Amino acid sequence: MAHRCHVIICTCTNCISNGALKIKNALEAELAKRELEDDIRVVQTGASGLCVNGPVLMVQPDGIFYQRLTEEHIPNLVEEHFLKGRPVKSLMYMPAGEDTPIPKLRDIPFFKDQRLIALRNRGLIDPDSIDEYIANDGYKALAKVLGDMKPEAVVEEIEKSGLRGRGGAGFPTGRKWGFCRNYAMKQRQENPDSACYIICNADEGDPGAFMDRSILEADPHSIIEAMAIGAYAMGGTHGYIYVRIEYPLAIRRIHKAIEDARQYGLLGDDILGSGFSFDLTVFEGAGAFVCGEETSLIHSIEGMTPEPTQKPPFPAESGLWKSPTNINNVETWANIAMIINWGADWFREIGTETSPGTKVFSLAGNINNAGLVEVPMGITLREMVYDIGGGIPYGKKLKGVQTGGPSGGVIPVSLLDLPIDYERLKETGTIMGSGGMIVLDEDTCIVDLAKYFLKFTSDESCGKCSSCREGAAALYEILEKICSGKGEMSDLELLEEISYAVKDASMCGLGQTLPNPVLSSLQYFRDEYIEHIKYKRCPAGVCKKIISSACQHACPLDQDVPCYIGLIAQKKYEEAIKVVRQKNPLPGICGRVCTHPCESKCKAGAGGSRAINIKALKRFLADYEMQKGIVVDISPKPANGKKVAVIGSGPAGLSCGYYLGLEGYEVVIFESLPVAGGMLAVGIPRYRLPREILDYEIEIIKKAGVEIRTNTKVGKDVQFEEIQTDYDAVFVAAGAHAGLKLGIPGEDTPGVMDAVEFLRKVGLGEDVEIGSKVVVIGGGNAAIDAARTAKRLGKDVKICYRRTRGQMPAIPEEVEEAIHEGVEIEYLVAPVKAVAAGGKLAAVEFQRMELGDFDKSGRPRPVPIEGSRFTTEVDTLIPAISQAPDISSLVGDGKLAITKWNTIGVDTETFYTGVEGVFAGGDVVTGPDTITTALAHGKIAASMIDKYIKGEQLTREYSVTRPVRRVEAVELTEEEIETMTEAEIPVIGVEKRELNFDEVELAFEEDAAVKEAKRCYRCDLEVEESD
Amino acid sequence: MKKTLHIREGEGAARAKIVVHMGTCGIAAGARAVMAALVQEVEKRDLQDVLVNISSCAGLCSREPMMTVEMAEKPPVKYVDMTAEKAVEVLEKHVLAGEIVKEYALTTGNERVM
Repeated sequence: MAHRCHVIICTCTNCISNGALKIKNALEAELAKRELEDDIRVVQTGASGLCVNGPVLMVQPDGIFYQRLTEEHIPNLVEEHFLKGRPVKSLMYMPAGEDTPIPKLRDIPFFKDQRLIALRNRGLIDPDSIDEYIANDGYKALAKVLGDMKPEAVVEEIEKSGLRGRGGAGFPTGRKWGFCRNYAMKQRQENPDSACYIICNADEGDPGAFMDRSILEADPHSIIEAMAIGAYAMGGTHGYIYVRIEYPLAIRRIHKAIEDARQYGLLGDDILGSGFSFDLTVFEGAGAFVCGEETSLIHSIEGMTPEPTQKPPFPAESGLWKSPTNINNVETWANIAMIINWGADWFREIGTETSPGTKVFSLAGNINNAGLVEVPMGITLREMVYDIGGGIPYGKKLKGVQTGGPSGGVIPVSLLDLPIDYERLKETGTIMGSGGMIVLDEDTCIVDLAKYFLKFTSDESCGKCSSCREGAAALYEILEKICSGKGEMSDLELLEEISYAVKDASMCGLGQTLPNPVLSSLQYFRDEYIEHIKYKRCPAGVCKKIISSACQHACPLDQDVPCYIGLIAQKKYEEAIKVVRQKNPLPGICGRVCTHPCESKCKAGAGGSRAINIKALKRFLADYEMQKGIVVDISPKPANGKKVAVIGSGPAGLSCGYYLGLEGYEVVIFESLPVAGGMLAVGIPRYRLPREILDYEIEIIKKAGVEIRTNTKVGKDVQFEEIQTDYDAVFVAAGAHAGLKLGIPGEDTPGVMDAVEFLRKVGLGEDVEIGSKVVVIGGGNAAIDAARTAKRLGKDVKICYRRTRGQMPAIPEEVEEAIHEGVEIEYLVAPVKAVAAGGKLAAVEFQRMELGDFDKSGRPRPVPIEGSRFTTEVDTLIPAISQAPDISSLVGDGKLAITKWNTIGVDTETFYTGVEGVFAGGDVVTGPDTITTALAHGKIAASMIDKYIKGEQLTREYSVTRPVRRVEAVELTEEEIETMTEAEIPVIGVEKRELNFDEVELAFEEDAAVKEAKRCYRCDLEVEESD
Repeated sequence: MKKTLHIREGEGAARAKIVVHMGTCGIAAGARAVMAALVQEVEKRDLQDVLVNISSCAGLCSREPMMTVEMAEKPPVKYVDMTAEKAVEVLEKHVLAGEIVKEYALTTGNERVM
């Protein structure tokens, strides 16, 4: 029996000593398990010459070498290569000095799943050469129908194929042809010279769709041949190719092709001596979107205003100059010759039951491989985006896919596994359209996108129906209002009401579908509309009139980033730090350890460039203030006699206390630990945040009239109820200091210590006993902190993470530094069991993972690879998967609402717990979150507590983001513009970090800070106050 | 007729065919400069057995200008992100010296038609 391929395994002495026989056994077992043993034969051979990289495998006939294999690799290798036909690149052999082997075309994802019918000659033939077209089976189908087939048989064949209109509506092509033929024949009985017209609709107008243009440019003869076949089948006397004037290259090539076809006798009178005559005219349209609608297109050719007319009569009965007319889209025509050549049955086997064949999509937007792809119908959106499209650039998250252009809608990530065909897309509220597929990343604003399409359709509405003309404009205006931060909640219903009216009352497809972008985005992204309207937030950072500058808008503290950066550029550092301090009580801390959401939205960082290093600039200012001894002006209002208690001295507590202190309240912070700062003191290691910085900042907070009582645990040293009675209000900001369990057997063995506990002990200077083989589990900042801390204690440290590096939630720079310091990171592994020996941890059993389906957050879920378990010697295991609040001592009389995540339930706008006078914020409410979020909670809670004590209503007002003041931009010199590069942050050498906790990152030198500040685009200056 | 498509065999056969992908996407990305440089270089070196021709979009518009090099009896190799300089380098190394320029090459082989 013939085998599909041979796997040749080297079993020389060298390879056997490297485990080649184990590999062979594992391979054979795996092949048997997958029932592939009849397809794949394993052959032993002698020295392969590559045995230093042994064990090695060679797969023939593919000619692919795999090297340095272990048994663990085998299941994945078999599944990928032999079952799915995807060679595993990471295991392939590469000769020295080459890091990219050139893959075979059909192995690379972009091309692998494509199947070319309409695009069969793309990139292959010279479009200007009729000879090359003919050499590639061109005009064979025309010769076949003229020689061997009756016209009605041609119509029948097309009908049997199930081909549907590729222009968007998906009407069965064969049926359309049948109607046209019937009317043409009927008319001909009365008048043998009566005309019948065949039209190719190349008025491609959807933004982001370019397949029609590409087909005409790449393979013009395929359209000519198909139209001649169609004319023969339907009794067509003349044809028109209606192409928009914006496609000059397509127009030039189609003209040349028509000329050549005439010369070869393939157009004109008596084609191929069959007695059948047909010729073509190219009609250049002026580029109105409505001309894609067939009745408008016909009027355009007739020289009339391109406006649609009521159907029926359909063009098949009364079309161009009142004659029977058939219109098909370019891509539909491009399929015809192939169906004739290979038969309807062949065509039906491709694609889905109701949508046979392939579809050409133009993949555009935020996607790595933008281009034109032709795939069988039924392919999923996920395959389109991730396999063919190669994913989203710059590590951004996928938000959705817009299909069908201005007539379609957005498909959200949750429907990514949807197989694409006409029916399924319609069910989700969008349409196939001509096949434009615009991939949207997280930086796309859905409301702004809908606005863009409505702007387009309101411009392109022909104006005949008032519902479309006025409706599109009205929809656009409402969207514009929402994007300006002036929307009202009632606008959402109004949008829907107008949308349905426009759909119902408009005559042609343009009006009937133009509300789709609004309706589908309201269906799937209603929250984003509400964010704009109610909270004046544009989460994507796009709507200019709401965000002013994306960095400021993204900052939970509303820091005036462009202002202080502008002042640094002017070298006015003292003014700049004052701007920072206006909204941030802990600049030295934020300048060191903030997760800087501002930078992820920075426009200077768009498209893979480096964002302005906002965090480092803030630190530069904070350090400047400290070093120059600039006195921070803290002048609290006179004491108002009211008292507020704060539980916990982390960032939320400090910020709340600070702002209440400024208002004249007497604030006492209760802290259970011996030091103030919460996670700032005992979570973040000192090499990232030195203690003296923390102390400096806390001293300033105290100046606002805040007392901090350390070593005072609420529930033990003082009772919660007592505080409630003694103070006018309480703010609970106890943080999240309890590490979550892994949930694996043996987790309670000595030698397993949670990251929070480990970091706390080290932070407090307590003795920590850890072994010399340390493994940290997790991929967040706590995992990196724990690993770098253990490394500083002189231990061998490895981090095991169940996903891949790109998905690590930790700050990327921190991961980078950890690797520099010698921390090993193993990806796609998860612990399954802690193994004890002699009452202590001795080893951990792991399981390898692979990335499977996407979860709701848009990240691929790690799923265990069967049979991939392995055991590693470990004496200290530090789980760092997440933290939860420990509120056992606070629960008290059980009045506080506790969520299923063991956090305190609050009103998310006011942070009020509902229990008399008790507010809560920070990690105790959110679970582990960022310092900046905690600071923001503290500040908002302070203003709510103030209202509460004054007896005012607890409501928040939201406003659009605006800079606190206008800072002029500095003029850059020619030289500065030319030599503009990102400033590098100085760090101390890796060798100097051993066995100490000295700060690793240093501050910008003045010159570097100014240089970096000058890179800022100053987006804040684009919005004038009049806006 | 097939022979205009493929490299001729036997006496006087061409050793290579270079196709520059000149759809709107390719031209917008700079395919004309690539084409001009190749034509000039072929003329300068009087390479009568190297065919330079055009074709249209090869599908991967984001990597245009693209170029396909087909050596006699070898599968075609697709090059991406071409410039005039890179194209001449490919002509020298791949076409004349027989070494695929891996740095610029994307893939080898033909697409699945039908």
